[in-house]
Amino acid sequence: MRKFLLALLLCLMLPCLAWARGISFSEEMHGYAWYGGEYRLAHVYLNVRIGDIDAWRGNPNHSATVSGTLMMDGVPNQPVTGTLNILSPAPGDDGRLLAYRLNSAAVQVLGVKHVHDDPGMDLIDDMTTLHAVFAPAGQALPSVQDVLYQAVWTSELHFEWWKPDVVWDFTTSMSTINTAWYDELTVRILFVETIFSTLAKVFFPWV
Amino acid sequence: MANSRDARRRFIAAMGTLAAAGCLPSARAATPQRNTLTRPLGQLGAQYDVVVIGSGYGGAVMAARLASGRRLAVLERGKEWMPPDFPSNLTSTLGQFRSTAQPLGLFDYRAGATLDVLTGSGIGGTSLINANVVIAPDRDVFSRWPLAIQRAYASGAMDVYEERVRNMLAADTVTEADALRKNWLHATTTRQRQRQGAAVAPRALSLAVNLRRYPNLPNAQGVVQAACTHCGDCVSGCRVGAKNTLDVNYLPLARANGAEIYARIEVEWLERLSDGRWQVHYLARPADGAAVRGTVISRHVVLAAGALGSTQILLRSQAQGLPLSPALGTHFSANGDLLGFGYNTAVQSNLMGTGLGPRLDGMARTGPTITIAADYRSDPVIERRFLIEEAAIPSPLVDAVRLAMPLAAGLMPEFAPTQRIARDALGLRTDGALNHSMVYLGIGHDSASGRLQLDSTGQAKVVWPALMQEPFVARLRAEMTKHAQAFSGKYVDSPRSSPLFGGAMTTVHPLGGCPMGERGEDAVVSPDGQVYNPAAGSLAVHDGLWVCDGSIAPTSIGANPLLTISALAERTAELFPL
Repeated sequence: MRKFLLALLLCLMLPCLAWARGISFSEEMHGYAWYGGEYRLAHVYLNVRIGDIDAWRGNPNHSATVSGTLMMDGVPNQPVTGTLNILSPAPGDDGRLLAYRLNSAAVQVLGVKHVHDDPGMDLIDDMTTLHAVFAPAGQALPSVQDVLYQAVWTSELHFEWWKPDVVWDFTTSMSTINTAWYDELTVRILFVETIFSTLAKVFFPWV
Repeated sequence: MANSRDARRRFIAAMGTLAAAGCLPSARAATPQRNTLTRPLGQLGAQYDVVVIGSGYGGAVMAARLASGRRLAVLERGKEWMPPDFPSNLTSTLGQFRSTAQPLGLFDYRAGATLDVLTGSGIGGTSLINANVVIAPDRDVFSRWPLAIQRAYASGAMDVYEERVRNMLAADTVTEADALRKNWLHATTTRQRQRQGAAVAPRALSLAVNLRRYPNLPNAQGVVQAACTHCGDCVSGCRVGAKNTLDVNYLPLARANGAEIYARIEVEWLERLSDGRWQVHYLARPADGAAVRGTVISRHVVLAAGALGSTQILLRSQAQGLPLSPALGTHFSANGDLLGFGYNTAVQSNLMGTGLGPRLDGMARTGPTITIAADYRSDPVIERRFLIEEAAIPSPLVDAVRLAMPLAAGLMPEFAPTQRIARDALGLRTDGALNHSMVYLGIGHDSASGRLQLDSTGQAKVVWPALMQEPFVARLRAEMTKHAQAFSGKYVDSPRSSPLFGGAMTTVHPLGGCPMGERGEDAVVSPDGQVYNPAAGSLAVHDGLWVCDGSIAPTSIGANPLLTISALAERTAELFPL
């Protein structure tokens, strides 16, 4: 009986021991992009995958992987892949970043959401406003610093948090990856807790 | 009574200026020092070979070209400005509106029943406060001008004068690499209109702005200029000294050629003396004393005080007995000007002037006030042609416009634009509604059927009851609306044109009043710019009396007129008797 219970316990724990537990969610953003010498209405639909939530928690510069579709007026839809740094420290220690690096066969995007303690009640806007540069593949992109501090961004997209259907889709899109059934809730809580504790460090650094 | 009228005028002027935000004023930086061009009033002589009245485009060109070998004086009503002295905030801007209390003000804003007129006052005239767009008009516009002018354009002679002006003004062009968002947005919406079937093309505008040519180096006339900082404050007076205003090119040349330049002298009227010379009656306003009236005598007088100024002087002279054409005051044109806003679009346009202070978080370059036009001038019918130029709002007016525009625009029901309006209400930010807007300056063709008359105080006023019904108004509004809506913006008329604020339009390009023509019965000046003397016959002219500014245009030009005025002045200078 003991052996059986021990074997069962090992079986149940195996996923934790063998695989990194993670979380994924989808995100859509809409706005405009300066691309090909024109402003264009732009939309991105992304699936974000944090393959190892513990690695991300241990290293805020850990990258999530991103895949999805980029749509712009006058440009064929582009399947994109790339990375997303979620709340990594901003250069100069001015808050945190959500830094998107997306690539398709024809287009590349560097985008940043900058969460920082500037005047005004704009935490939600900081978390949902992407300032970006769209460029043909192969062309040099500016640095994150320049996008942040030199206002060289030329495109802006929003996660439209004011639209209930968008928020619903985002919320219900969350799912765990490689996570044991008993860890499902833990992973979700860890994700949310990490987000909020990081934000708290930005806005209440003395705590 | 006079005070309340003055106060009312200043209020209307201020409101009109808000409406005309793209036409007007900002901080201090390391601006290169300049030498003064003007002489003390005490050095004004009694007699000259040539007196040039006004130091705007016509006057500056004439002074530069005629000064050699002649005793020539330039009389300017305004004062001489140094770049750091231009207004830097709303209060100092409003304080620079010309009035009886502030006769040396930089902005001459004349509020009218149906049309307000804005021009500049100071050494350099309107070049101090315009957007310095150097653009040639369509050649067939001159088909309604005197034959000699038609021939001058047809023969290519005017091309030579235009090129001479471009070189003197060191005209340059903004490129896509300058990364000016209002420029990009206007180019985008123009191409969209093109794809939708409109006969339009984006057109980069040549600007008399030192974009990069002389970075703190002497220009061709030896005046050290700073390069443009893209602050967007061209029209409130360039505090950087990067604008190629007339006080850094033609006027220094005039001075180098021997011209005496005097500020603070407002010419009131002209009198023909029995020996054929001209007596110029003026009111001088010395810096260190009370205003004083005086006269100066000259063999030649060149009126170059602008459409309102020159016409006003001739109307007063006529009232004093000088025989002049019955056409005096007629053919007044607003050059088809219409101001409008594409308010609260989805795209951050960076149209807010930044002055010389620290830039707001998220603010990149604003750029010269005007950089690009949607060019709708391919229509075979001249009257249907027009330009829509984009413009910046100078930093002193940003706060006022930011707070006023929501009232003019009304509700915008969607969340994002409402949020931007709320941001504007809470403070100056780059992500507010104003910085997602466009200012449009439309320039088209009107019927030039306005009339200038003297009011009870002897000031020229515009009488043009049917102006709002001119076809160009609806045509421009319709097209501006389509530009505004391309990225979810809302077209808003200039608030001054709302009945709430008096229902008047605004022009920054007044033309006519002393129209050029073939005969004295229906024109004030000859094709050479000499003033007709109807008392002596149809083709007789007053010897030695010339007009050389926008007032001689018998029609609208359909483009920013500085190049045309300057090129015609270059031509007149060549025709001037030795």
